[in-house]
Parts: sequence; structure tokens; C-alpha cells
Amino acid sequence: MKAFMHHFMYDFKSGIRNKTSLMMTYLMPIGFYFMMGFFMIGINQEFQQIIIPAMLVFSVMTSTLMGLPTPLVEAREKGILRSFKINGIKKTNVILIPALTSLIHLLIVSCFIIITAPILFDAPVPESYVNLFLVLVLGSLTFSGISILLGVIAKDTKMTVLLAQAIYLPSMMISGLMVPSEMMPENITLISKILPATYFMEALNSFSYNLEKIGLLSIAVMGISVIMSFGLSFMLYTHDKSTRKVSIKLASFMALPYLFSIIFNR
Amino acid sequence: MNKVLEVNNVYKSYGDTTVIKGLSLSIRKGEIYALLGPNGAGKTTTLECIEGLRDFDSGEVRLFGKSYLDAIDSNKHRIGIQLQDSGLPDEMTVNEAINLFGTIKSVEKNSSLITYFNLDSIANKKYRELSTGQKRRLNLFLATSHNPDIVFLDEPTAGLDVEVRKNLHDYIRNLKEEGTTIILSSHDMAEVESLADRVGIILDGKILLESSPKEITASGENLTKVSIKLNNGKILNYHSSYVQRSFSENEYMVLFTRDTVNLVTDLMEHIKNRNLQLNDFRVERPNLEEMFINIVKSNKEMI
Repeated sequence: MKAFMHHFMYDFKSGIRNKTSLMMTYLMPIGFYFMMGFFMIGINQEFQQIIIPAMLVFSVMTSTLMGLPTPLVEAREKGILRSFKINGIKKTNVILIPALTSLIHLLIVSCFIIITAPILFDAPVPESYVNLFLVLVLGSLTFSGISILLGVIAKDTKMTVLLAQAIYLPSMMISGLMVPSEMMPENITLISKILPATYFMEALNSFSYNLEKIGLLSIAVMGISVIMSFGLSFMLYTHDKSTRKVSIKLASFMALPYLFSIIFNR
Repeated sequence: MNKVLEVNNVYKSYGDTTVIKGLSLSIRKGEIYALLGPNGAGKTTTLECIEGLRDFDSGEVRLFGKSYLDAIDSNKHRIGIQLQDSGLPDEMTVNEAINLFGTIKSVEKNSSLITYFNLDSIANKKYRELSTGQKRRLNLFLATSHNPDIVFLDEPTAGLDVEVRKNLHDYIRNLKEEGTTIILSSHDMAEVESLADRVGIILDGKILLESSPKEITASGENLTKVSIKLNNGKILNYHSSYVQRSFSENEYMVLFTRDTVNLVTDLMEHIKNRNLQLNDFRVERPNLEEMFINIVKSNKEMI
């Protein structure tokens, strides 16, 4: 445990020192939050109602999908994971520590958004801060798990970026972050159910603002997703690029909870 | 002597290519064992299979008398590994690396060893700012700071200057004196010859020859190498019954003989009679490198 904590503290500190990590975790989410707050609300008044959940989901997605997989792939490519293995660092640490440090950074950013949004943009105050916190933790772990899995299965950094963008960009467009789900065409709403961000957004609205009624399903899907993504990451993790297993097929099982949810919803 | 490591009939394939073909070796407690082999002979794969970095297809590896997987898991603190091809996070400082891996291995900070490796002067330097020599020193420190019983060193002095190499050689000898078993892989024959108690030559995925460097050197044709370079840049034309083999290389005529005294006497007379001017003249006893090349060459022809 002492070794785990020491490694955790090192990872947390290095996250603050690393410019890319700082950009993805703090500068980009906060900068985008201000931009959306000052401009989007002027264009679309409805956005004021969802600015807190939307910006929390955005922060989580940016910090995890853009920030977690690439360092893992680079560490494998540079032989850092080999060094970790021969020096006694377990794969548990390699997989869990970035997810946990990312969660701490995200909680800091989230506090900033939750505190300032009602003051600066007249955003509605969450009805339950406890629920908001719990859903935020679950959502962060959902995206951290998926991001770590991307890093584990991606062949190189190019593929990592491609895979991360394949989730990130559609999530921005159709998961209810920019435009509330109820304002989108029905078939787009259905397609958006394949994206984790949709469930995260629904759960935040449902449990923190009582705006949606299918919160429990979202929680269940995200919970299963967390278990599956971390489970698959442990199963498919390799320290060496030359021993990396061909794992795309197995990793594609990650889509199952989301596909089942679509079928269940229809 | 106790056997610390035993490798029996290990096979390893990558797809259709079998890289290790029934390799067996055993390492005794407290010895320095060097693995030699040309590129692609299976040297690194063998080491990585033993170190637990790579799975093997069949065979048996026993470490400290236990089956390999049990030993790797339960005896991590008794094993030290320094890889040639490894790294640390760019932003990690030397001090952070020492503290992090020290905590993981549950060892107290060894100040005297840190000073010995000159790491205290670069304690706050980030890994990406370190020179090759500094990285090598740090990696060797991390591999040995927990006083392991067995240490694997892969090309420990590659790319280092003479002084640092000498210091590292001294350190490796010290480790041996303290009873540490060392398995060394190196391309530097002089290093192997000066450090190793035993040498295993790997070719085509098998141990071809296993002996002490002295025995290997003495076991060959025992030819002395005589190299001559003339002042005018021409290659010396010399034939004699004293010469077993000869070839020309970079303006040198290189002769191999079993009868050094008679060859040199005859050669001097030959040069004097023809009024030739010598630019360079060298007599060298056979070394491990030449023996290694001969052994590999003759066995490759057989393969």
C-alpha cells in the first residue's frame, strides 16, 4: 500500500508538471467552459440549464480520452513499462493509478465549474451535491476505463488518437452536451445511446437535477462499463510492444452494455 | 557449487520462426556468466525468457531451485535486472526514480551507493536530460541497490567512455566478490574476457560452447596473429610454410602462424632483402574475439 501511495503521489505531481496533461486536464476544459458560458448562452438560452452537467462531461471526456491513452502507449513504446516491470511495479499500478490521479484532477476542475457557473452564468444549482459527486466519480471511472483500454489495445500513438477521437467527436455532437437530447431527431437520439457520454449526461441530469427519468439505467450501463473496461485492460495489458496481443476483437465487447441498452430502450 | 539458475531444453518461436531451439544452461552461485552470440542468435530472447519478460513455448527454467514462475513472483527482491532497451518517464528525476523504486522494493536509501554511482550530483535532473552514461549508471543502481542474489546485465557498458566503463567493471567485480551471481550479455569481447568466469556462446538458438574465456581461447587453433604494414602503402607479398592463414586488410598483410619466432625471423629477412620500409608491425596473441569469430564462422558454415 505504501508503494502504491508513493507511486500515486508521484503520478499526481508529474501530472501537474506535465504541460500536455495540464492542458488536457485544466486549461482546455476551463477555457472551453468560459467560452461556452460567455457565447453559447447568448445564442441558445436552453444551454444555461445544462451548462454544469455538459461542462462536467466535457471535462471528463477531454481529460481522459485525450489525456490517458497516449502516455500509456508512449510508455510501452519507450520501454518504460518494461522498466516498471523489472523494478517491481505491478500492472495494477500502471492501470489504476492514472485513472485515480485523473479522477482527483477532475474533481478539482469540477468544483471550479460547479461553484462558478451559478455565479457567472446564472446556471441552476444542483439539487443534490452528493448525487452529483457520486455520478461524477462513476462517469470519470467510465471514461478512464475506456481510455486505459484504448491505450492497452492501440498499436501506436496514431491509432490511439484515432480511436479516442472516434468516441470524443460524436460525443460532443450528439450526446446532449451542446444541444439537449430532447431537441434532437429520434434516430440521432437512438444512435447516441452507443456513446458513454449520453449516459453520463442523463445520469447527471437525472440524479442531480431531476430532469430525466431513466437515471438508473444510465448508472447500470456505466457501472458495467467500468467493470468491463478495467477487466479487459487487466486481461489484455502487456508491458512490451513486441508481446502485445492482438486484442481489438476482445476489446470490442466493450460496446455490449451500450448495445443492450439500445435494445432495452426500443 | 549451488546452481542458482537452470534452463532446460527451452523452445521459443515467433510465428513460424523458432528462435530458441532446446537451449540448456546452468549458472552457479557467485559466478559471472557471459552470454555471447551474433545478432539474431537468440541471446536477448533467452535472457528475456529467464527474466520473465517473455513467455517461452516449452522447456523448464528453475531459479533458486524453484519453478520459474513461482521464483519470479516470490523472489523479486532477490533478482536485479538491467535492460539495454528500457526507459523511465522523461519528466522523472533521478531522485524520484531512486525513491519510487526504493519504496516499491522496500529498501532504505543507500547513500554510499548513490555516491558511488555519482547520482547525488544529478539527483534533480530529469531522465530526458541524462546522458547515456548517466542513464546506464542509474539503471545499474536500480538493478542492484536492493542487494539481489542474481543480477542480469544486458550490455551494461555499451556506449560509455573508458573511465565510466572501468568504474562499472570494478563495480561488477565487487558484486561478484560479495557473492552475487551475474549473468552478462555483451558484444564487448574484452569486457567478457576480463569479467566472466564462464562464457556460453549461443548460435542458432542453442548453446554451442560453454567454458571459461581462457579455455575457449586455448581450445582453438592457437594461432598468433602478425600484422604488417609497409611505408609505400602496398600490401606485402609474402608466402611461407610458417603461415597457416593470411589475408590483406586496410593496407595490412595479416598472417596467422603457430611458429611465431621462425615466422618473424623469416619475415624480417624477407623485408630486409627487398629493401622494404616497415610502417607498422604487430604480433598479437589470440583473444576471445578471434576465437568467437572462428567458432561462429565454422559453425555457421556447418548450419
